[in-house]
Amino acid sequence: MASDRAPAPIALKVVVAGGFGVGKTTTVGSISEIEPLTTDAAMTDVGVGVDVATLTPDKVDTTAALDFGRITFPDGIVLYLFGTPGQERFAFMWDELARGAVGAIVVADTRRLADSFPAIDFFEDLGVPFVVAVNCFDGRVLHDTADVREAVAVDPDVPVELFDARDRATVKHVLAILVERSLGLARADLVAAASGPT
Amino acid sequence: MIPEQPPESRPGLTRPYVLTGGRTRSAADLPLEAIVVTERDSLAIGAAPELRAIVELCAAPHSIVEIAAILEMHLGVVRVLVGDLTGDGILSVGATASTVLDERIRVLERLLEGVRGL
Repeated sequence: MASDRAPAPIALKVVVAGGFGVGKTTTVGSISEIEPLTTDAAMTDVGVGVDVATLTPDKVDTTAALDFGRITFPDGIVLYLFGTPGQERFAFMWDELARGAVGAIVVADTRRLADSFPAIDFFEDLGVPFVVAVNCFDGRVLHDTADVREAVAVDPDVPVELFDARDRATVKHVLAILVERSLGLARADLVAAASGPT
Repeated sequence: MIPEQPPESRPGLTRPYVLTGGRTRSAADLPLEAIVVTERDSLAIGAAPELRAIVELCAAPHSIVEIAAILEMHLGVVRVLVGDLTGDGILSVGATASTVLDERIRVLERLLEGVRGL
């Protein structure tokens, strides 16, 4: 059937992380072309790369709701945006989500900046490109980005952006910054690989 | 003994686990975002409804995670079943991010152009 069908699109993903209630699902929903979907991911389902046996042998009842949205681009690329469960006990899912990801948007609330530290640490350790996106609820900006940058202690070249999770244009801006960051790091890796010892 | 399950019930959780023989990991190691397309509907008559549902859904491309969400099946079960059906040539799975740097760069360039055009 259908030998004339176009090949399946290339699927990419971006992880939207951050503390509980910081606006991750709102961020995904603002830019997704579909109403965000939810699936329950059981621990054993997402244990790729993790020694499942040491987590909970013979148990599959630890589940986390995984929210995701989708953007289809005209040239055969589909981007999925995954909102990570914020609670630390679901950190087991992050390896799976981060694997092969374009990068991560760490959504931060200036009133609870420490809530974003686990996500920042995780993506730094794994070398996953990320941006810190400060969600300005109700247009309130309690800090400027320099203060936030100092508080979260990220590398100077990690983008720190103010945005409004409900505002598609600002979410799009943050997403573009992330893809630029990811592209820049990939190009730098290519240069390093070409000039490094063989 | 015929299971006491109404024929119109949605693909649930118990039967797929039986279907997969308890396997929760697929040899194909399919990423969540990988997009699945039905190549040919050559399922055997009497094939399990879960398999039928996946093949019918993927007449239009759907990712692993979308299949799980829409059909209300566990991700691990979807991976195993899709892996089996791919091996049989009934489904095909599209590409995800390449680990080859210059391919990754080319795809990211296309993505950036796409995001800017949103």
